[in-house]
Amino acid sequence: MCSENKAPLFCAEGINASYNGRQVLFDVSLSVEKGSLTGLLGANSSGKSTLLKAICSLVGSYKSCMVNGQNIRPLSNKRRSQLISYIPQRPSVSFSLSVTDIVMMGFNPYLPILSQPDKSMYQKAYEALKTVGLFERRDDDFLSLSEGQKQLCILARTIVQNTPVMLLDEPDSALDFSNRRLLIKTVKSITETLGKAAVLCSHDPILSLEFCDKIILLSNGRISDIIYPKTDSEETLSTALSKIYSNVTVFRYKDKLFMLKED
Amino acid sequence: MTAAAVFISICIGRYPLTPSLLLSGDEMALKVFFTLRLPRTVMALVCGFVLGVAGGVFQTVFQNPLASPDIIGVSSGASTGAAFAILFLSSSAVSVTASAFLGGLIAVALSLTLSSVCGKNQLYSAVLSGIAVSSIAQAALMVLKLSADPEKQLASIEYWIMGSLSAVTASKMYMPIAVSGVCCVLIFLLYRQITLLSIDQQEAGMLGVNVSIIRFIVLIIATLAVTSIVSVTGLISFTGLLAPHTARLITKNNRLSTMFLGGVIGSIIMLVSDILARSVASSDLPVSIFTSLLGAPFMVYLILRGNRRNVL
Repeated sequence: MCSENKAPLFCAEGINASYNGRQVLFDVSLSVEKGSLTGLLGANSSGKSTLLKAICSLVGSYKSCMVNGQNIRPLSNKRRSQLISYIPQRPSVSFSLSVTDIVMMGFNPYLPILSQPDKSMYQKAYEALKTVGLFERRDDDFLSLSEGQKQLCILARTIVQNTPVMLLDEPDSALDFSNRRLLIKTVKSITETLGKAAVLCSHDPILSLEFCDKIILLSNGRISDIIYPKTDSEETLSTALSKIYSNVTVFRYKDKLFMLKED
Repeated sequence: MTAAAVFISICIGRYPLTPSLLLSGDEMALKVFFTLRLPRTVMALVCGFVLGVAGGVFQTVFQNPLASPDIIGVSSGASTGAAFAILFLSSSAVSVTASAFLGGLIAVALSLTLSSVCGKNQLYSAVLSGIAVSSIAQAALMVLKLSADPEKQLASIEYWIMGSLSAVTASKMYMPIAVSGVCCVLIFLLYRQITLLSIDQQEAGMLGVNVSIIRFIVLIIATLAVTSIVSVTGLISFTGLLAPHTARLITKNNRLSTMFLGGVIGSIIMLVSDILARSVASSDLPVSIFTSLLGAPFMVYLILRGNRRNVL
């Protein structure tokens, strides 16, 4: 996959991972094209989050993992974080820091250990905050933000981190309907306008069908199907998604795809 | 407030000093000023500043509002080192200071080494290793106390553990001020990295932080600063806990300026406590009595406040 002539922006092969002796990922491979948003759907414990963590070298192992044709395995932590960014399910910040301070953390991969960010970096951070609609809250305490705003702030941090590949581990899990759409729309816009590749792990198949260019379906640690919402027929999508959610029907209404579960 | 505390600290003592007395060139007054009062005041300032800054570092790195240098065994190691010197070397200031310094460093090196070989979550394993090393050091201290001469050696050990600035002279100040000064500068330079350590270690890792190495370096620097101070003053309670929290209550943020303010507040706490330690009784009292009297009620307040808002 990684050696094809038309190499994708990101591709990983032979990903395996285990927790406490129980294997949760079995030789998974995936690739993501430049400017595209790839969804990752699957039931609980199917290995979605583990897959993202394995790509980040936090768990498990892989045969190869390439970003822009560059193998990331031998790279230092710092260099790797210039190529891949990661948004966790929930931000782990428990320390009173301003919204701007949190966004400025995204520049760390580009700064020597004792250096301080310059004015242009602050300007970029403010631009990122404008993109996610949090510029007015730039001096507020991060902990005073709503859960949705916190995730948008972390997204702003990812924007300034400016990596070709963005991995998002259910960033919408704590968000309401509007914030969930806002977050995914923003990610989609960033991938298209800045030519990045994003992998979005989610529990929302309807939003994934609406925004993702490609959806990887994961079942018991293996890829069960790869679907393309823009080109695949409703029947193909229904068959593939039924393997994950059982007895679901995908249909089109006002040019958008929806999914219904038949009990 | 700091200037007022410095002024009072210089004036108050068994031999009261006044500006007019010093300006008049009184020989005795100048001797007291240069050999006793000034070193003691400077040491109180430096000691409080270092404990305040280091306290902020420990609270940030361990993501725990009640963290202090004790959490990885600094105090227990230094106490045991001091007791060892009093019993087996000599009660001279140099040997006690050097032994306490080494004891603190050995304890911290041991707990950080243990944490690096135990488990993937080094934050928790550092705390657990710190508890284990502290317990071992406390056990060793008890054995040393049991074998100490109750008339002289045991009293010296207890007095050292309670902390005091009464024995500070100009010659004893240079090493701790130089070491802790360099350490504080490094801490301020590393402040951005310290802030990154306050988030989840995997998240920090994905931001390019080499968490294990940076945490180790930061903790060693903060420990070195604290140990260089307590090896001269003995253990000082609560200042490292109280000062950073007070700074955060004032500024409502965790910027570099807040960490510096924590140091300044630590200096004020130490100066006030030391003034009280040498003025409420006919003899010098251990300074930790007063830092504890200030710190314990504040800790209760923090616990009550923590029930409402679980943040640092």
